[in-house]
Amino acid sequence: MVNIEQLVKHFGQTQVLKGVDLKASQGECHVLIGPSGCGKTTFLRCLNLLEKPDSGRIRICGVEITPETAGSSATLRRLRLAAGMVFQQFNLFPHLTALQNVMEAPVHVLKRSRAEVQAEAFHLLEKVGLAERAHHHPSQLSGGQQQRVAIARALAMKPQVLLLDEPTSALDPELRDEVRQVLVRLGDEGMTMVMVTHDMDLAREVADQVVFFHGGLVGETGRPENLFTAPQQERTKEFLKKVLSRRH
Amino acid sequence: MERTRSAPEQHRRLRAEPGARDASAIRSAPRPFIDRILPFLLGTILAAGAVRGETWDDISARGSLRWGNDAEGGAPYIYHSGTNSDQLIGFEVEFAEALSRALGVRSEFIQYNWANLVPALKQGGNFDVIIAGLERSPENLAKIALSRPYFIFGQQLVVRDDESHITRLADLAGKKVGVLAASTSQHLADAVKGAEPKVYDDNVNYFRDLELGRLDAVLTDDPIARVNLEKNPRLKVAGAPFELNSYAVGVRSDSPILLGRINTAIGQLASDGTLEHIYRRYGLWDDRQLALKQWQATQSQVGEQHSVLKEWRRYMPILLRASVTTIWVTCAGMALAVVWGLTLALVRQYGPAPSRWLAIAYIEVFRGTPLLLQLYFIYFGLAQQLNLRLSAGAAAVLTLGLNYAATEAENYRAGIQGVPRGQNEAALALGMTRGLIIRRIVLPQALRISLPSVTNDFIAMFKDSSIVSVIGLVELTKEYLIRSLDAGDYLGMGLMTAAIYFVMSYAASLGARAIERKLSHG
Repeated sequence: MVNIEQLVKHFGQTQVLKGVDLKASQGECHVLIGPSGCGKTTFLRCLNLLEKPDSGRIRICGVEITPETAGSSATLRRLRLAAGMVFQQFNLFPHLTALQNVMEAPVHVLKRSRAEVQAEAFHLLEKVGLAERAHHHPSQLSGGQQQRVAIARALAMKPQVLLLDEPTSALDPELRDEVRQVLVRLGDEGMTMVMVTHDMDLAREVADQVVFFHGGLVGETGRPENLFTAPQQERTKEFLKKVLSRRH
Repeated sequence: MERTRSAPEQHRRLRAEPGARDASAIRSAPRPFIDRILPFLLGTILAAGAVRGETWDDISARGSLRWGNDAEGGAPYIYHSGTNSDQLIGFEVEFAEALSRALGVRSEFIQYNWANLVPALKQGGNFDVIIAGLERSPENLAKIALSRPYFIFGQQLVVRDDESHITRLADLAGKKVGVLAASTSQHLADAVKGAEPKVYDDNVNYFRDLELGRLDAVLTDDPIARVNLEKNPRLKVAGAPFELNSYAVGVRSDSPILLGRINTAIGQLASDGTLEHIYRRYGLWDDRQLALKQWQATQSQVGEQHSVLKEWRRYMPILLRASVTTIWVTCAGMALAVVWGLTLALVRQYGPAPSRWLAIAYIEVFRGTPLLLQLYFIYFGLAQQLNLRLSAGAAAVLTLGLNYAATEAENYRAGIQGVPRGQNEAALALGMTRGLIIRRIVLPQALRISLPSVTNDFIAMFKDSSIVSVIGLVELTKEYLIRSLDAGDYLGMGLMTAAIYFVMSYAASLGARAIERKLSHG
């Protein structure tokens, strides 16, 4: 489903990704954790080419991209249609209502009929618990509500993989739960996800695999029950000690 | 400065001073603020400069006669010599020199905008007299004192060489006729039923427009016609000069001694042949000028200054009609500026390299050169060099639109750059193409960000549109100038004009605020 090999990325002289591999099967949720600046967000943004990797190979749902083929707009488009994205800052379109945000891409990118898309969009907003807010603009919604609309917007394109960049980090703690619940249910329904987060509760709840990033490389991978309770590497232990003690 | 005066003279002098008149008015009766008190306050300020004694005292103390004229007046009045461009020549220059000699002082030329010479003299400007083709007309006599005539002229119709139907004033019905603002020519043309007078600020541009076919005829003083036709075989006179009038020296009405000395001096120059000698050298001498020798002094009548505010019912409709021109020129100009500006902004932001440079060059050139220059370039330059003869209205809209497009483009660019980067990324992640992102995501947000600046520019254009009066379009400011020159009340007419401008601008900003409210959410 998702198969990444030896991904390398520089920002100027700094090597941010030093050859990262990641393999996720259909229906799996991989959660990337690690200290700030370890390259996990850059890695995620490389998966749908918001950042161009310098070398390596990306394969998502049969779309294969190497730095040589990254320029082709047709391939790029197929990749982005296959992989939906949810951002830390939601990035909803402020001039459109919640419903219009969800409908925008299916109507204008996929050229589907407005009536059909509208019915689906309502259904998606219902699923994230916001049917009654469909006609509100983003500025009239709380952060948690905005992020749930953003998830519905990504799902409206029927992606095969969902990329999530710290989906709960910009939210007040009491608003995180509503987003977590939506993501847990998505995982239960079998959505393939690659997620970056600092939210360990979220990681524990949705992850099939937790990937610990360190210094532009994958340090350690494991199931959440193993990695959180019995990490193998010193660096993982240190990191977990720090983030878990911070919680109380 | 102490001088004996007869009682009536003293009285007249007091009445001519706005400050003194309004002070008594305030004591007499309670009246509306605008009508009475405001003119009084402003009048007091102006009067501070206007209270001076007999001008002759200044002249004899200084040893020079300062005469006001506009060197843009052109041949044969006053112009730069072909061989030495620093030297001014013309029959009025030589007349002023002869007059100064006769008064026993030096001649000193003072440059001043022609249209403002009379009000400037009246308010105690930096010159003593006006020698600038000033007509001995009732309108002028109501404002200042005028000497005996020093030149006699008539009105002359000028047409293109191939024109055969226009020979008299009455033939102008349905025709466009160019005239000088606030001149006898304008009054005559205004009175012809069905004629379309086009008003100009100078004596040069209407001949150009006649040649270019924008006018059917020009009505002007015959010395002007004579000189300009000499250089231009494509134009000819139509019919004989008519409506004889004369030029006189303008003197402040509080200087009867100077007026008397000038009248004596002109009489002397007329009888001893000096005037004939000068005028012959410029080809201007004819039998009509013989009348200059016999002139009976009659008492100059200085009318009481009056406020047009009392006659607002008469002037307001005239000003409102002119404001229609201001409104359509502004609206059409802004529409062009918005569309063209948006195009420039998009090319500058997203276009390929060469077109991007062109857009930047366009913006910098149009922002960096005066609007007035652009207007002349488009109206006269294109017509002369490319034979592209735009009507005054089209040239005005085009110039305002092209000029403001540069500013608008920068407004939109700021708006585009004000859209957060995350918006672009979110749209890319949804598979949107660049064109779709610009159209559906970036522009709607960018336009909202730039709306307040665009509104500001719209209001600014209402005011800038007054510049189009220089190509003969009578909009609000031009109508104001013409009417206040006629009525002799810059203040009252100015208050009415300002009120109309204010209402237009305020309506525009209320409308814009309503749109902004509608576009902002939550």
